[in-house]
Amino acid sequence: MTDGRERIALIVGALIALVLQVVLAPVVAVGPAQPNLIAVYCVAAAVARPQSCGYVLPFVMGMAYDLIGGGPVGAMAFLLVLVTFAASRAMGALNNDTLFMPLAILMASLVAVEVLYGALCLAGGVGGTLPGALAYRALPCALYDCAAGIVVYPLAARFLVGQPLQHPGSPQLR
Amino acid sequence: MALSFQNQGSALARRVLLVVFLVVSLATMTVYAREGSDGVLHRAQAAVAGAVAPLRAAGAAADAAVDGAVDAAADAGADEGTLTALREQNEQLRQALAQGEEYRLEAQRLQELLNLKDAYKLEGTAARVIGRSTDAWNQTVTIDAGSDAGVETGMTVMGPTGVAGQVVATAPGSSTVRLLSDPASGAAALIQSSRAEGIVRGSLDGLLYLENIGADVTVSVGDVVLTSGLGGSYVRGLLIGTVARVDGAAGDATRRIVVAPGESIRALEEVFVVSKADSPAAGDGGSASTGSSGSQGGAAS
Repeated sequence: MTDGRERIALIVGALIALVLQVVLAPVVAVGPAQPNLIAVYCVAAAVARPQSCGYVLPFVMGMAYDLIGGGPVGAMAFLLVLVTFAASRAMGALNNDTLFMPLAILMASLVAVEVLYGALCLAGGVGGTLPGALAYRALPCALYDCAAGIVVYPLAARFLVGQPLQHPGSPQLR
Repeated sequence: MALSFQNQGSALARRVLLVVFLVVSLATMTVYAREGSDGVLHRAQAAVAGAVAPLRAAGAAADAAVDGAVDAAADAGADEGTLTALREQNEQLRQALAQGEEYRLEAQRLQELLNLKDAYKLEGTAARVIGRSTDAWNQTVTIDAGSDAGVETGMTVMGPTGVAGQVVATAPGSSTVRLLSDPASGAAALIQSSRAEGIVRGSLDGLLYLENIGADVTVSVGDVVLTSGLGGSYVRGLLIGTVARVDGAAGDATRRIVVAPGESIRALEEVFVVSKADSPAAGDGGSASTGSSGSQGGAAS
């Protein structure tokens, strides 16, 4: 029952992230920085539920990102599968029941997604240099993603895991 | 015991799934990089872009709402009593004025497009920008004219003051235009005064760079840069912009020439998709047509 509810929440969240990426992300762009809400959602979901992290969601969402955007098809799918796997493993190994660790893993994963995606875009024929790609796209976008991640992670931990973010009388934050 | 086997089997299945997804993604990337702009994945990307075009249009409406929210936030800082009185008195006038101003600006932009069309003797289709790129790595816009309106991949797209980009994908009711400022864009160009030819490329920093100009050519700030038509991707003789900065002198191997477009091509609202042109602007009265011969990345690719 709980699994079914979590699965529905996961799918609904994915659809919301997809729609927001198409409708909202271009509107809230700040200079060259544009949030990748799909990556934020997938990584937040992987960090929030590391034991039951699947690979179908990041693959499908990555493919959707590639198809609605103009980048190389398969690149974001590849990165999201890889990074969510690494993030869930890191979370499983390093989780110390504080809020710091999931947020640190979330941010490191999002920076990795943007930097590696930039490298793949350059390899795929986008003109420019790696330092330029880092300075003008990857790092500003990663910063934006991290800010979005701070908002999305508590929501993911609340709605995808099926338990409150904070238990009364417990020092644990999740 | 049974549970242990089940867990082992589940873990194995997950690992297999992980490897399968990674391999499929890599294979897809490879196919995408190797196939042409009319390949299966490119066509799928164009079809999806067409399918989500209405959502992008909704995004444009959201953009206006964000602007309104910003204005409201600014108003919130003023004295509330004064603001209430002024709002009541001026609400209707403001709406009428804003609407009138919007019509005036739209008419002005359309008039500029019309002037451009007449000046260059262009034939084609006018269109509105209904959406922008959903990711930071591609500078593209979606327009509300597609293959049903005769738009084809490779056609040149003009903004009110000059070349804006090139159609890279079409759907029945919409098209995707890669802006000239995109790092993957490139247009064969010439400097009007010296007739020196080169390539204008977009970049990640958002500037346009004029490259491959002969080392002995003197380039000055203010020189007009036009499309040269070489390679057939862009119509000949259309205005790209003017030289805004020259770092280094003639003979300097590391000279960088920055070209400023007529206006910010990222702020486009209406465009003109060129199907045929008879442009006198390049100085030789050459005529050219554009169409599916163009490729992504323009003449530079």
